Amino acid sequence: MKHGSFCSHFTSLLLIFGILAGAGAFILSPKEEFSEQENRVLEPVPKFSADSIQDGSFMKSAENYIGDHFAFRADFVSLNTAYRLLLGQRDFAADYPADPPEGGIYYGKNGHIYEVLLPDKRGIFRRNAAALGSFSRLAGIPLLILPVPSGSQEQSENLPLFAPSHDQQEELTTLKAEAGPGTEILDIFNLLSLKETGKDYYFKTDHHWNTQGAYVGYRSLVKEFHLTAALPSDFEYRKAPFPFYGALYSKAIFSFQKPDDFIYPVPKNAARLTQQIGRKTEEGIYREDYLNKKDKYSAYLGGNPAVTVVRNPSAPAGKLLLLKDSFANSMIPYLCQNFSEIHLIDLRYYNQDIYQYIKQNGIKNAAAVYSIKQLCDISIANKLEK
Amino acid sequence: MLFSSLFFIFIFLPVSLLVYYFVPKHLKNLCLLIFSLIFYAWGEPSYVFLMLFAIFFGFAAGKFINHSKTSCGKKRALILSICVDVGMLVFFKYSGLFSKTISGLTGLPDFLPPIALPIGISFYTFESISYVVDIYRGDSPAQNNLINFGTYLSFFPHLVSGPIIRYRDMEKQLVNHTVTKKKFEEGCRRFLLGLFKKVLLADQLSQLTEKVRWFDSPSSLSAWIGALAFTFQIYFDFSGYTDMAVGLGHMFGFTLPENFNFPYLSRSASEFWRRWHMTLGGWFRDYLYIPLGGNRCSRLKNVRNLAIVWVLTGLWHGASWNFALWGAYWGVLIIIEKLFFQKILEHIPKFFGWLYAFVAAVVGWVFFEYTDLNAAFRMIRAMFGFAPGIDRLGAYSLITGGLLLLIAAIGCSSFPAHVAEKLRRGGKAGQTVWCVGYGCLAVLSVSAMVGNAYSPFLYFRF
Repeated sequence: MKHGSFCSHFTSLLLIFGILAGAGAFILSPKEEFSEQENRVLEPVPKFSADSIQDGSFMKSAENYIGDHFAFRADFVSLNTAYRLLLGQRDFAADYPADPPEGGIYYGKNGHIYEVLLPDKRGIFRRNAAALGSFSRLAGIPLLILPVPSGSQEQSENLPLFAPSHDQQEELTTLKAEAGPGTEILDIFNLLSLKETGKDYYFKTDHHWNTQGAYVGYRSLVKEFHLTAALPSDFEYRKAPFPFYGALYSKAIFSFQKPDDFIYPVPKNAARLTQQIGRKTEEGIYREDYLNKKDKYSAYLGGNPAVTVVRNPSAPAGKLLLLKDSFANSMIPYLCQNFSEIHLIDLRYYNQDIYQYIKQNGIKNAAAVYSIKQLCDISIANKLEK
Repeated sequence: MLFSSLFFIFIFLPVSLLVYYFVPKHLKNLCLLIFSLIFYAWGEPSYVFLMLFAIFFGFAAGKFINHSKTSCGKKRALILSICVDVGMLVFFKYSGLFSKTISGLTGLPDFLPPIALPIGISFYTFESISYVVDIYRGDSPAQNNLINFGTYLSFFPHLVSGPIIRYRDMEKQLVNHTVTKKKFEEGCRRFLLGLFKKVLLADQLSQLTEKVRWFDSPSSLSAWIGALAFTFQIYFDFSGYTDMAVGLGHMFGFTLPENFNFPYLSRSASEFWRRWHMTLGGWFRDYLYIPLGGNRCSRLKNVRNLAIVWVLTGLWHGASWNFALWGAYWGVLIIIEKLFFQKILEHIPKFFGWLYAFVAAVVGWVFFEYTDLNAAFRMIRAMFGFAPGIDRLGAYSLITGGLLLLIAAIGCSSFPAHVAEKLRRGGKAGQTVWCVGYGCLAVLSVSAMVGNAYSPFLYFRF
């Protein structure tokens, strides 16, 4: 055999059989419609028509189709993550040119994944802070703002060595500076800090706080309302039957990552809790079907509709308006022990006049629970203007 | 459609190869032409008509030059066809830049709506020009077969980003291109090599460059890391793409010219450009520099010629003034070398010549990468000490990207090729190592392509 000809045969066979195997597996493998991992609908079979050819949508669809339904897709993505970790890379899934810019995630110490925090170059946070700061004046009721820092802020000692991470204290300062009369800002940075408390208040694979973190937020909030906080012993803590792989994990699948336990509090007293979304009222605050799915955090209230009203007739205090993002959802099991009617408004999806809503429902207490990162990424200011 | 996409590798390539191998010989070029047009239409379907126009027009111009009896007639036809080619390029690629510049200078609103850039137009207009000039000069006869000419202009392996093929190098191959087993195997090897460079190195390096670019105002360390990462990224991206093009050419029985010859081993700016994007340099030399008089004229004229060639080379790379500046930068270096520096370079130790050429390339790439000149100068200032030495970004990038940069640096040298050759000739054990290595890299490449297609969509559905 001539020099190197063995290698030459090998490469051509590698390419031929590689292509045949890849294409064959792609054709034969079952096609899923929805990817739980990515939380999105996968590309349907491309539609061939004169129009779809002319505007190029057929071509795009065909490329997406093979990308979305490639056989052993999750395993290949995991292998790719492993390759990059081996090269030394610690941040993944960044997309800096995107709007909002996406810093991706850090693979941190102790099996923890963290959001990469970037400074808000676009000034979205300042506008949101100003709008929240003038809410009280426009609504005529006081507002308590609870800004929630990210895991990467509270556990910075777990980030990769020298990893750049924007300091969210800046946003806290901005909020305080923009707070008008009747507005109170709650600083819970120390209470959630791993260094200060020795406790881990965040999921390892998700950007949300865990139920203990939510309890810390709850206790600070009700203290400010001069109410007595429910005790952890008032709840039974249950565990979802399957391991929890959160949203941060989805950004860079990696087979060796350990999952979280998804633990949620169920009040021991048999109060009759209801949640109302639009005209539909359901028993309880958990949507238990989500506990068996990937997106377990949505078990709290089933996600983020524009308006949800949670009622507990046996609770002592009256109504509470909660301007919020998903971080507030896991506080609800605790909060509904104090408030008999909680109106949760997700301003990202709410398109009515919020001040009208307050008047119509005779609400006297209001709080805003937002993760700082969310307020840097998405504008809610226009929804609060009058 | 990128060569490094799942769709190309697992659908387009096998289908086009199968059809191509099974059609009878006299239909092979037609088959190539059709697949090339599909490939071209894939990104922007309406521009396929532009491609068809370029084919018909170039073919007719060639015929016309061939049939003109007088030299004056030939010249007129040549000038007209060059004007049309250049006009197409200017209209589609540069009109936006002119309109923006004029509105910037005068304060008038932009008078042109943005035009999507037709893929590969910079390449096929240059190839079309090479065709008519070669015929005018009598270097090759005009093509009598429209399909053959169409295949030359639109052949999909070199359509999107070269190499730029001169007609005279392609003429004989258009009639005679048999695929041998050896050629096919060599094609597979080159294609995979290019794929590795693109998805395992260039795409990873781009994450380093993007990070440094986004954070802006860098420290010296992060500026160097960003600039070096881009230096390697663009090499692996472009040379990887050329490898894939050459490999594909082989699979279809063609031999396409080489474009890179270890450019970062150069010891002067002039040498760098004899090793970097060689087919573009060759095109400018043959069809612009020499017709302008080259260096066989007064020193002043020679400098003028170099200046013209280099500013145009810069602008050819993109419709933005930073590319013109980048071209001018190389022009200045090359003129200085021609005037006196070359003599000095020949007398200093080789290492310093290499260092000069390499740093010159790295600095040049900063102007290439940053369309915003202020940001480019911030980078340059930081690289040469006018910024804090180290910041978190720099330290972090060094820790997490140092190994990748090292691998990339080694990859730019001839060392890996030497090792691979040694292994291939090194008996059973060496060959096994080589094959296992190639197989692993191939699997990793597929995983990288799947990874690129994987896009979690998190913030809008909860």
